[in-house]
Amino acid sequence: MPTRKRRIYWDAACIIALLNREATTEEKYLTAIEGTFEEMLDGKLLIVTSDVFRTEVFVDKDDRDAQAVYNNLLGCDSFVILDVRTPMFDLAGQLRQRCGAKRRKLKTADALHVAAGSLGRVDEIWTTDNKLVRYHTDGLLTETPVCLPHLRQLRLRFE
Amino acid sequence: MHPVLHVRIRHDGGPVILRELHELTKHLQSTLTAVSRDLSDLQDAHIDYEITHAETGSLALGLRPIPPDKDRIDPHRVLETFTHDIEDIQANRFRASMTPRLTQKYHSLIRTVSAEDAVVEYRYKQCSIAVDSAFRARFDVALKERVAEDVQIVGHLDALDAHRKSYRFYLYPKFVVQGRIEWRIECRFPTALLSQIVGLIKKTVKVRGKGFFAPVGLYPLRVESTEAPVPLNCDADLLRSYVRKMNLVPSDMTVAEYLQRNREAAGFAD
Repeated sequence: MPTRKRRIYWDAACIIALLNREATTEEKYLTAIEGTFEEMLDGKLLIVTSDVFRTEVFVDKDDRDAQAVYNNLLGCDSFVILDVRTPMFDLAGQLRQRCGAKRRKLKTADALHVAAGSLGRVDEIWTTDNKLVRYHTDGLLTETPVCLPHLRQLRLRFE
Repeated sequence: MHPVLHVRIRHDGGPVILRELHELTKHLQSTLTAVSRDLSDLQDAHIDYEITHAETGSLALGLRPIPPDKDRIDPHRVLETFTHDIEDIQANRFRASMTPRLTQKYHSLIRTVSAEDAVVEYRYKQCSIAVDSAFRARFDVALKERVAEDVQIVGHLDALDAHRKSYRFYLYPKFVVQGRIEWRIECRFPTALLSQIVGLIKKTVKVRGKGFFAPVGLYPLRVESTEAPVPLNCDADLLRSYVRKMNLVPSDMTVAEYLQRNREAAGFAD
């Protein structure tokens, strides 16, 4: 019986945190991001993102390092880059409307990430943006849990 | 006890025939199973339905879900989703998480009884739908395929079919559990590319071509390609070598500012 691997969505801030020389977020989140990246490379889980990240993370598309990272992520079986398509725009629009109705602003790019994660049927959407996490806990982004990067609790088994 | 889904077939000008009942029930069971799988993401999700009543004349059935052994699918959610989806699709509204294969199932079901005077009614709790010829026509329009000229899809190349023209292979997007054929993408290609494609079986590739999309879903239903897929590789050690080594965010900027600047440059900042 085929099993479904755990899927975690990363927004652009998570990818920047992974790659940037200087720490862009707290160490505990960096540890979770790096640990999850290793698990992904070992094929234990899937990291999902949308193609929007390329524009957000890499300024110079001709940069050889940026190209190497992108092409190897594209070729990695456990790293999924979703194309931005009409259903994503539709859902992103609904999310922005929902937030707007409560006088909260959800930026287009953030809405696209959350929509991509939801349509990609991920288990969690990871971001280092506290505001997005609050929108989830406040019941505005309800489709998929939006959370800060975290390591999974180890389960101890006593026999 | 679960609520009952009521189904009625009627013709303005004649009796219901056995073949219609057979076809409708076959497609209805298949569609409800697809809804269960769509909602649960489980390959083996399935609910049986007991017939609680049946009437002749205008043929009417009452179908009550038999609670599945494993408490993994909520039958109420399946039937509610089923009726709402059908109602919404003809109004050109689509549940965001609906899969393209499920829309195909709905389409087959709606088209099963298609005589001009035929009406199939579905009623579940407060939701009541009458599928008549106008409804079927709206359904056809809503589910018309969308074509995109230049799409690129990355996936696992598998299952080459060179027994009939046009030749095709099947591409499994990366996060599809292997073996779930309802998610695979059919890719048609010209005969001249056969030998190159044989060499790419079981590899991760990028396919480029004309994509045919359902109104929902992240992937096309099929792609017509005129160029050979490009094999992709991943060097894990190379990727590791970039971790916390790139100079992306200038020292005088926060991540938020960096993202905002790049979004503005790309034209989608707000």
